[in-house]
Amino acid sequence: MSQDPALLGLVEAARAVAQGKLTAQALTEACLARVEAWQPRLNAFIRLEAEAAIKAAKAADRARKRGVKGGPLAGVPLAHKDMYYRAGRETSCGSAIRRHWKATETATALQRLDAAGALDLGRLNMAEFAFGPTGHNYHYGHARNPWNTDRITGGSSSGSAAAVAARLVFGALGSDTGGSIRQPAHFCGLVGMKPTWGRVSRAACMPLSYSLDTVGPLTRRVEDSALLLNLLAGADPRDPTASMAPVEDYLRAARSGAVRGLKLAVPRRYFWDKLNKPSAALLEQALGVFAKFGVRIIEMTPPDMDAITAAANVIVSAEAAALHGNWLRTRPNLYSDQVRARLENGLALSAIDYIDAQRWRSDAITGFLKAMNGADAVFAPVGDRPAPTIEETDVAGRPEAGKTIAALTRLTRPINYLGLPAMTVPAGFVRGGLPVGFQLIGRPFGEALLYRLAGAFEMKVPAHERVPV
Amino acid sequence: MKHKSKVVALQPASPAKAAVALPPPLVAAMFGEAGVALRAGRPETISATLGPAVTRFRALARKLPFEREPGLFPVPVAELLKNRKKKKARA
Repeated sequence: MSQDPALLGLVEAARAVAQGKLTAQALTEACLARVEAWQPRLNAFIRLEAEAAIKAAKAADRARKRGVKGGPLAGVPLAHKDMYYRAGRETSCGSAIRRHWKATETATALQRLDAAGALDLGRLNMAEFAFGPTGHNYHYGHARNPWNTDRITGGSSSGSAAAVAARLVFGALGSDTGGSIRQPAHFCGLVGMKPTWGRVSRAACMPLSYSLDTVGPLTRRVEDSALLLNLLAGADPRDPTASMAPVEDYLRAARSGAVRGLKLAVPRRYFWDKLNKPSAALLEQALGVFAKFGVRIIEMTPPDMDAITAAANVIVSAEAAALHGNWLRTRPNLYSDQVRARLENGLALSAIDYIDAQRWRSDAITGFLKAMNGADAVFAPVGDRPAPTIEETDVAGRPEAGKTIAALTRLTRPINYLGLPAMTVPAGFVRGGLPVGFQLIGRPFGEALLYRLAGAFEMKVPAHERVPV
Repeated sequence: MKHKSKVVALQPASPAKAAVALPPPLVAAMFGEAGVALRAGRPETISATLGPAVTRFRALARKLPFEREPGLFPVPVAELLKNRKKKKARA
């Protein structure tokens, strides 16, 4: 294989290993060579576990030689946000408080990827306790965007986005409570899937807000994301909130290309209000691609998204404050200023506010689905603009922090409150080489349909072919 | 093409309303109740930043019907069950 194997897609790499065209060891070494070159510039990893990964790769190769059939990810190097527990291993959650904390159990999501034969290169950087949308981390250093290292990766799945975009690994787990998968995917030119709340088990993952947290993958290609979700989704006795709804074949959906006759709703009101011109132009082109496929584009008037955001903020603030109450009492100085201030917000809310925010949820989702006007999915921007600089968003605990955070999550946070599936799809690049994505928002458990649309779009606009240098 | 939003802004008409939702003394008292150390200026900041959103949300919550229970997908789940029944009937 003449090309750098690390530049392959995840599905391609898995196929090459399965067919014996590449060894797992060669694949892992190719990724590690890129980690060595890029890590000083990106700070994507909190901890690299190179030796263990090489050892596991050699074992996978030996097993293959013996004729043992590997799983669908046999020998493929991945790495994950440092909030997925692995028994006996340190899991920092991006925090000083849990710097040397060792997990006693392994996350179901990791167990499912392990069972499929995936290798784990190490622990990826993230916002402290997944409570920050920029990628700044004052304990482990800020993650940087591979397309321009002066720019933010977005957060909270900052290291996941940086590592996958720079081709250090073939895919990574992120988590999304207010946009933490979709927004870094938008800033780093990736496919980011935030599934329906309950679609993927959250067992043994660090919680931030039970009612809003979702687990999902970041990848470079749509089919890679679909394969990972196929493996991750489904009921789990360890997580009573994991849905029993049947898991569809997402990989098949991503490859089907069958989108003619589908209906996409475009909520220009609110979602387009602050969108910058270059991003808007790219999104119009993307809509044009769908229209050429025979997808019907209709306008929709979304419900009051500010109210939905307010309700989402009540829930995340109250739940996060409850989770962190003990540490806020005993070790408040170990939090960075911004995270501490945001956690403290929740202390000011009443039980009635919280319960009412939960009671309003079904009305809000009914209103949003009704506004979709019979459409199969919604097409919307993920952010108002491409990745801003690290400097301009370095607001720490200053008074303007709230505004900065709100601006970065205004198009993603409401969808978490609604519990709907939504995925970021790369639309292309604007001047300066920065990527821009759009989000497809589906009906509950409508992930397969999102993959159909995203897969068809990617066939026409293969943004993943561009590699950061 | 840019479209102007007709969505009502999150901020209340007057800052006084925010103070009504979360007056600084109440915020300070809730910190005390939780046993969390209170830094200077925090009650005022929280009142000013979170207050408007809470005011907005409380106005909305007042319209919730008495019987409404917490939940995420009661309507879509009902739809799903209905569709399944239809499919079964067709088969």
